[in-house]
Amino acid sequence: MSVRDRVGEDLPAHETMMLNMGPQHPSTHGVLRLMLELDGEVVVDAHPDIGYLHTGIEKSCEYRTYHQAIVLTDRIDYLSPYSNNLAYVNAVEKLFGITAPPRASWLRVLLAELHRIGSHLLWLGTTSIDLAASSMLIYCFREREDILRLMEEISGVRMMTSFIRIGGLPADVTPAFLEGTAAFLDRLPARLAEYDDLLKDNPIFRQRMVGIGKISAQEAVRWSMTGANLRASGVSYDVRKARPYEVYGEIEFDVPVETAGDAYARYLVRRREMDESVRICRQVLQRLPAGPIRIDDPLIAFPKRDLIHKSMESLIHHYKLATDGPIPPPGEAYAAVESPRGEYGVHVVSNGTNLPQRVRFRAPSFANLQALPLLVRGHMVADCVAALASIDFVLGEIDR
Amino acid sequence: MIRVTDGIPTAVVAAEELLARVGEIRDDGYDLLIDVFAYDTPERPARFDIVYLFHRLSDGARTRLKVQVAEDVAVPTISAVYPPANWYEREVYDMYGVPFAGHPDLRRILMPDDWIGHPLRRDHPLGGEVVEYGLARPAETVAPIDFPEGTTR
Repeated sequence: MSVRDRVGEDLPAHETMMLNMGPQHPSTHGVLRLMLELDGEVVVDAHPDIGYLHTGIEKSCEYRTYHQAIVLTDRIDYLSPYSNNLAYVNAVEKLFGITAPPRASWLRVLLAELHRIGSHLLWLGTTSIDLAASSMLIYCFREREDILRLMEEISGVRMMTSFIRIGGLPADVTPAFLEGTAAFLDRLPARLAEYDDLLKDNPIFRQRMVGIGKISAQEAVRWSMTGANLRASGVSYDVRKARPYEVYGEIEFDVPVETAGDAYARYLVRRREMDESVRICRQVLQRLPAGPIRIDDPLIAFPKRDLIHKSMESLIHHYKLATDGPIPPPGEAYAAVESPRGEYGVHVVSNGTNLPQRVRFRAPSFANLQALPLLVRGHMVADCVAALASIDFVLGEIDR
Repeated sequence: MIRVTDGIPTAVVAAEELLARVGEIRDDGYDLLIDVFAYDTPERPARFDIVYLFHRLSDGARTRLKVQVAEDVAVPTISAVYPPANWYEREVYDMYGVPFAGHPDLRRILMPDDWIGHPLRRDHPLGGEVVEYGLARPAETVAPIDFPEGTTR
């Protein structure tokens, strides 16, 4: 019933107003439509409307071989493409009952952590610019540029590298990559310390973040939040520790936890996660074993490039894998990784043909965003921006 | 039942037992609902598998439930027990057309509100929308553009 229908009635002294935020908006972090129910400046409720970035990735995977589908996965959580690649390939490897060789596994961890640092830098930059600390965006992207150049060094691609294969990696990393990574890891901590000087005890940053978007541990668990959102409320759940994958079980690192549950706590968690990622990367560089970077099973993994020119069998295997693709036995498997946003999982169903029957992407942002109304109720519109930013969601994985 | 290769205990339950079983899972301490999704095996009369995945924070244990239903058969909503199921079930409804009985807000979530059909069903085409130069429309049927006299191309 609209207001017009009630003309002549004694309308209450105030009514709520629906303010539409998005889907085009500089601060919704993507094409999110947020309908805010306002009582003056205060948000009474928030109704997210998603689907503006739905491109049918899950359906598209059903029309591609298991190998071809890898390139679709980068684009789901496009701010941390490697975690997408990793979860999907891990699920397919579970269908085959194989694991990547040690060198490949250590390198996958290195790449995943570099992407975590890159994603958190982007998060920090965009959150800061939402709060009008615009220089931070440029500083964070300067750091991120180093990571993108390292990706380009090994794969030729800055962001959507798909630098992974079922059974390992497409190629080994170059010495320039390893040296560049070591140099980057040496430079980063001092830069992060500068950003702490700018933000951590900055009164304006604190005023905009402390007490904003508060969620209790109980509510965060109840709404299936994962990632820094959960850890900032005191729940120490990290897939890398709870259900280790690749070689995370052999690496020493801590999982930062805060208890305040507000936007500032989420900032502290992500900030410290970057330090932990540096720690993990350094261990990988120290302990990286020699060896092959792909398993030697011609029905599953591509033969080495130089063999194609020497061995007829390898040529045939390459041809079959490139056209029909690897064919896992019928079955289903779920594999999860700790992406920068939380638990990112892929469930693959094989019907014994060369095309997957179903590929399901469990996106952490889908659940995290569902809890948004709890975070913004009672805040003013400007604080919604800070609360939204503090969740660190990506529409690409929400909508797929 | 289909072979599960990830080591997560999986049980198939009837739709009528679902709520009771989910209650038991909740009582067993599985505090996080990780995912609810579906997949379609149209060769089977009970074509839809609806999969529920739960996680227990205290020890990292996982458990999985599956409900197998035919088209138009309703499945009870679990959103009263696990609130995040709200959006997950909306997505299953949107993509497969499975009605969730008792759902507080059952409507499409990703597709436009006026979409006809359920895209992730195996019999729904990949190029589901007829656009001028799309997969679903052969080039010969595209009408030539009529430029009125005096206008430039």
